[in-house]
Amino acid sequence: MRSFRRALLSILCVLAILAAATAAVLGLYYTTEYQTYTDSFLRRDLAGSVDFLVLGSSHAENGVVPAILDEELGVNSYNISGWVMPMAAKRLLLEKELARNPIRTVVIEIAYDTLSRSNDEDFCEGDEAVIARLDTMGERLAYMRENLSLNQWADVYSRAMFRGAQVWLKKITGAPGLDRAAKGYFGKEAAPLSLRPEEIGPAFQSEPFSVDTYRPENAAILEEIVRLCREAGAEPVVVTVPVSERFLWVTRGQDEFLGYMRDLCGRLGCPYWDFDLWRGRFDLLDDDTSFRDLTHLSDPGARAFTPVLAACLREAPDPSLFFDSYAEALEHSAYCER
Amino acid sequence: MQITSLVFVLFLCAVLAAYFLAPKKWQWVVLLAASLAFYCTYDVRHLAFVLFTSFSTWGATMAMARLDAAQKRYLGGEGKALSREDKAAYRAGVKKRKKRIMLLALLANLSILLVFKYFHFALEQVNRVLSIFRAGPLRDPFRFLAPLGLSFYTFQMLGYLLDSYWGNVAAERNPLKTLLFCSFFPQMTQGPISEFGQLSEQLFTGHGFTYRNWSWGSQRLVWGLFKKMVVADAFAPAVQRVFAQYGSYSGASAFLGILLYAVQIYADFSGYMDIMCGLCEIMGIRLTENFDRPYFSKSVAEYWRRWHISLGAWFKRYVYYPIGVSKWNRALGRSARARFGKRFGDMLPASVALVVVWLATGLWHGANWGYAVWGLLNGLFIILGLWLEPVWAACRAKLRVREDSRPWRTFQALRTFLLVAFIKVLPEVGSLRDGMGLWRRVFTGRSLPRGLRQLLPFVDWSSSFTAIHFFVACAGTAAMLAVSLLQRRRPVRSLTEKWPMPLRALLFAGVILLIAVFGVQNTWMGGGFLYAQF
Repeated sequence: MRSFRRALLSILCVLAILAAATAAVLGLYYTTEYQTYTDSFLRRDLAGSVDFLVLGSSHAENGVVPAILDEELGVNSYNISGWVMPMAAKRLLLEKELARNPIRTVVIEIAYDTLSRSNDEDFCEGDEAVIARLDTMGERLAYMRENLSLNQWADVYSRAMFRGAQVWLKKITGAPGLDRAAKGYFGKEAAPLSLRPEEIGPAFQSEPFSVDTYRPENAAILEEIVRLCREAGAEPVVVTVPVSERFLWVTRGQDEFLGYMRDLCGRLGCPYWDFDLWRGRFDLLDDDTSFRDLTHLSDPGARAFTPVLAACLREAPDPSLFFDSYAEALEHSAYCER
Repeated sequence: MQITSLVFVLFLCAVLAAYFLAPKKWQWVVLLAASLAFYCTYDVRHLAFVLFTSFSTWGATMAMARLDAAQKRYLGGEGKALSREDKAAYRAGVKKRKKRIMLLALLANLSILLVFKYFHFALEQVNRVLSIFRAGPLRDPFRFLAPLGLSFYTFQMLGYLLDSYWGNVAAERNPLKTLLFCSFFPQMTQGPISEFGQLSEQLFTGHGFTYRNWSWGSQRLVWGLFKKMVVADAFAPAVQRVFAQYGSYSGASAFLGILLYAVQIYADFSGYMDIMCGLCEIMGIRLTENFDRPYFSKSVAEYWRRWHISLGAWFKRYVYYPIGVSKWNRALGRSARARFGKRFGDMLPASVALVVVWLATGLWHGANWGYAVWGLLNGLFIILGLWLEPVWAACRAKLRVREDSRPWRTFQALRTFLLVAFIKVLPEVGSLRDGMGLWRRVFTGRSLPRGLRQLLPFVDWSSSFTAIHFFVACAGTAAMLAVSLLQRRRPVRSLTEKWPMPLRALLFAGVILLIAVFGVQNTWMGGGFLYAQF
């Protein structure tokens, strides 16, 4: 019994230290604005004034600049997109923002891989970002309870602690905090793409791509998101943000995605614009300067792309401005000659 | 169930609680239930093979024990009056029947291993030959995933079977206890390969909770998680990059990649052992140690006595000795002695046995030519060490090298480490040709890296996240080295034992935090345990 008591005491001692360290790290992380996703205070400050929302994953987070939308459309926009954000989390964040803002337009960004995401895997970077965006610890715990498995709790804790440690480091070194004026946009520098142009060739045209991996529950959530928007008096617009020309070229089967999205949005009765098919894309976006990796726009790329999006939102674009299919778009690609 | 997951930690807590709450008489039942439940989380269908191996071994050992008992009864009673020749003939008859039973069980169990692990490899070779004659390839009817831990538990049960046949251990009467010995979850999937006499008694007798066991065991368990999750898993993606892209690396980078793999596999395998030995220690069960600071070995032979000790011991006991004393090998030795002298005659049988052992060791690790060559290379260095020992001794005498001097010992350890690190990568890069390509790259990649990014091209510099994790793993490697150096005289835990409890708790919590912050993320990059594939 004495042995057991000593062991229990040592466990309690370790747990107390862990709890104290966790409180110190996460406390600072969630209550300061040092990281991209800890923007709950900013969004609370903007409550009642946001009338335009961009809701998507990393492609929109890195690709749509609210400041440009504000200037071009005369709106007060916010980009609430996040890295690998699950569809369920998008619905949750949208509900929050619709409830406290007079939102008129919601740009819903759907990428080629958005609808394949599931909560079956233990990897949940997107969930951690959403959790950081929630307002209270109660909301965070409720989200975790409803959406995450036990191993995912460990993953979220680990990610939050890592980011919390970075926040401490930023605080100690006096690094600048969150750029409030960016309003959720996360611009990144252009970086050399891992796939070199000379590597593009028939050998690389075999990467399979299939809509079979799309989950019906994600499509159902998209349907719900559209319904929520309409109930709140906001117009939903579904878009696909451009990926690099190289990625477009190596990923075959994108027309399946196009067909799927056209069908889905047709059923939902909302416009769908795939900017990978926008005819001007090959001139506007250059692989070496407009992208930070194969599938995400860089800051210069986002600043070039957002005015195009704004123009389409201002006035519904003529369908002739878009290619009919990926196959047609690729015929105009520089790599087609190879 | 992933061993580095939160679910596994909770599983351990439940097992420990049930183990210590159960009456001592029934503790082994808790272990059996936990082991079967653990195995079923991987693939319940594969449990059939575990049951077959356990019960066939149990049946064989019991049958042999019955024959022994019947022989004893007969010769002590009715057979007392028999002549010496008749008694010998009776004993020979019993031995023959025992041998038949042993061989039947041995073949039955080995056949599962052979089919799952080697049939595909053998068929590939047959198809290669057939293709020379332009004949169509034969189809593989057994292309399933091998049951988890098959190589480990099969060898353990074969050891028990042979020990039982030789009369070294008494047969276990309870089939469920035999099943526990086969399926005991801390050692079933990656060893250590335990001897029945060493493990069974500890498994089947009850243990009370003691603070010392708890303290020492949990420290070792957490240290194992640190090695695996913070070090091995962080290095895994870098090593994979080295193996895939070494052709574009400088010699220095390729060399660092080889060292990185040596650290990764040690942290991975010894980390697993620490986790499982620590868990067993909490329960009062001492598993066979599998590592004894192997990278401080002074020769390849010593290295293999300190790395995966239980596998080396198994081969020594059940392959090397039987071959060494076999009639044909002794005859070979006698013939060699007559022709080439005493030393040659003594060394040849040992060398033949070593070649067989190391070829088998190579193929045990994987059914491909890369592992076969890897095994033979290890054997070659050991055999060369044996044969050339007089030459080395003469050289050392001539150069007046003091064998116990620190510089000499350091040189020997470094030389051995580099040698085994180079041999290790051979089967891992891909094909045998790729392995040799990596070796070649070390000596021919002459471009000089400018700066850290060029020296370490296998680090994903585009992500600060992975770069930070890589350097934390480097610091973790330094910590592992420091612990190994401290452990030369006594376990580090005996040092921390003297600290006040809050200080110990602080260190413990610090390591847990490192695992939580860095290790959990690394598991996505690191994948499973390297030795689980063997």
